Amino acid sequence: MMSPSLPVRIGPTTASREAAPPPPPTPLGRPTGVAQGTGAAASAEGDFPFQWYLTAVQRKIYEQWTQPLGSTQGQKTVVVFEIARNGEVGRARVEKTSGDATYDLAALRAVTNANPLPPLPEQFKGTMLRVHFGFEFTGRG
Amino acid sequence: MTIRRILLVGLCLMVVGLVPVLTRPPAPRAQGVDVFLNVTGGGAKKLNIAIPEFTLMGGADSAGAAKSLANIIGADLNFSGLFQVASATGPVPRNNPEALRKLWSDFAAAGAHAGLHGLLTVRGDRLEVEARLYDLTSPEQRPIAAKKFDLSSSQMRRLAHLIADDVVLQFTGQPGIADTKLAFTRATGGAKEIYVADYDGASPAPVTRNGSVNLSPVWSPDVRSVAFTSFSRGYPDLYRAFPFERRPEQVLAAFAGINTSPAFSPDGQRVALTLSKDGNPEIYVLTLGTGAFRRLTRHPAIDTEPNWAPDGRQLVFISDRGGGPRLFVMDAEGGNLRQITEGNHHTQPRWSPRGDVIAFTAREGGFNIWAVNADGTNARRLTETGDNQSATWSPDGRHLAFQTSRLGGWQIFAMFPDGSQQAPLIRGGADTSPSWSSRLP
Repeated sequence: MMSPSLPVRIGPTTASREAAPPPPPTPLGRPTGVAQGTGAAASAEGDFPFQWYLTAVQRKIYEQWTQPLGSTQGQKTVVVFEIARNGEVGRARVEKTSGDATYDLAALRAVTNANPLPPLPEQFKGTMLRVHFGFEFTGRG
Repeated sequence: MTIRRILLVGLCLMVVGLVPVLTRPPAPRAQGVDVFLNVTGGGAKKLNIAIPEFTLMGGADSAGAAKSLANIIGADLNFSGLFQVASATGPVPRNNPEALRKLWSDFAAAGAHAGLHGLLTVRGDRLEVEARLYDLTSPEQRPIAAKKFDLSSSQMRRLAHLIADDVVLQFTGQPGIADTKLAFTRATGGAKEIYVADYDGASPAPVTRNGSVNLSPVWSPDVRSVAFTSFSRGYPDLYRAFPFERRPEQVLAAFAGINTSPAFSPDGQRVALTLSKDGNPEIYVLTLGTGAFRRLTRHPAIDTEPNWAPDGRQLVFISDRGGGPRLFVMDAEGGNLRQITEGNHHTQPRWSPRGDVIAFTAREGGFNIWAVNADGTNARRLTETGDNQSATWSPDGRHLAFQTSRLGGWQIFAMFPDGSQQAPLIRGGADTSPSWSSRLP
């Protein structure tokens, strides 16, 4: 179950850094998505006011997340990825490691297994949505 | 200003204000927008694993190894706290992929996440096993890993432990601790002898037979020797025995006064110990290669019971220099000394192999096992029934073994580091002072 089924790379890669689009001059969407307690929670504001979409993304990725055995409380991995207009997930990589490769891999796999996500909302005019997705373990390992 | 002018200015302002709305240029082509999401999970759900009886592929299994192996592996995985084991009666017929597929489907429908299928061949006095692990959450029952093992049939239990540890490795990245040993003191016929058993209590065997009082065994990290205090020559001296080799005991320290409380450094090169030869109990470090002793503490108070941090750079020990006995930490040269517990009568400190927690015994009326973070914060009690002492960590830091009097007489129990799941580990003796070995090399 823990063996990867897709070729995935853990950790930032230079290629994806260089190819990332430059940030627009206006302030970016402020941090959204505050999780409290078990499960998923999101709140939308700023440049992406589509709460329903964020909740759907959270739920789909959460369902794909298998928390590895032996995880310890407080472990957290942040995976960054891009959602294209058609919902395709791309450029998924570990943005902030938990320090545990097994835990990081399970988080990364949750994102790649959730592909494709729902298409971006029509009212959203951007070309893609970049999501910084945190996976935090709160139980007893 | 006339009213007309005001109105005119107002109109202009309105128009000016409106112009951006009416003639707004197309929105700049937004690039990516960043959002931040989070999920939390306390899942810690055990992995449900199905372990049917092994399939006999060749040879005669008169000892019932096909069944025993599956049972022992199941017990090991249940003990680890990471798995919920489901077994099945009756072996998987050999060379029958359809029957295997059906068995896995039935288990998957019952909630199993993984399946372990063992193929056993008995060849003379050897047992050969191919252990195959399957992912039962995938519709095609995807194989995860397959590994071969080959041991003599007299080592059947060890074979099971090795397979179980490998299953834990597949799912956590760290091997399990089933292939480990416990050393302990057993009261037998008026004497106290050092014994060694498998971690689950199987096959206990004596290491000493001197009919005297032998105490406080500790394993060397290479699991080749056990250091202990013995009164066999009439005085408390420190010895080292080799349970698995034909090799005579060595004297580690036999100075005047007490020689006790040995603790091997994580690299196995040194032994910290307590000697009172210089007036009162102090902590020394013996370098095994050279036989040289180096004194670490210099204080009229009692300094004893040293125990190493897993990185070998610090020691925790007991001193009553501040009043009653409490936990102190110093670096491996004896410097940077600091007190880490308050309160009274703390003994037997044991540093977790994970480095973050120190277990110890506290006396408040009765005796109980406590834990404290290595920085001295969050001291908490783990046991409450009967008297409980002498904790020792499993090599992965996931379990503690200790002695308890809760069933009348002394027995060795195990528990998790938060105090949960306290249960007997070694049965049927009057046993104290457990020491949990590293994984067998």
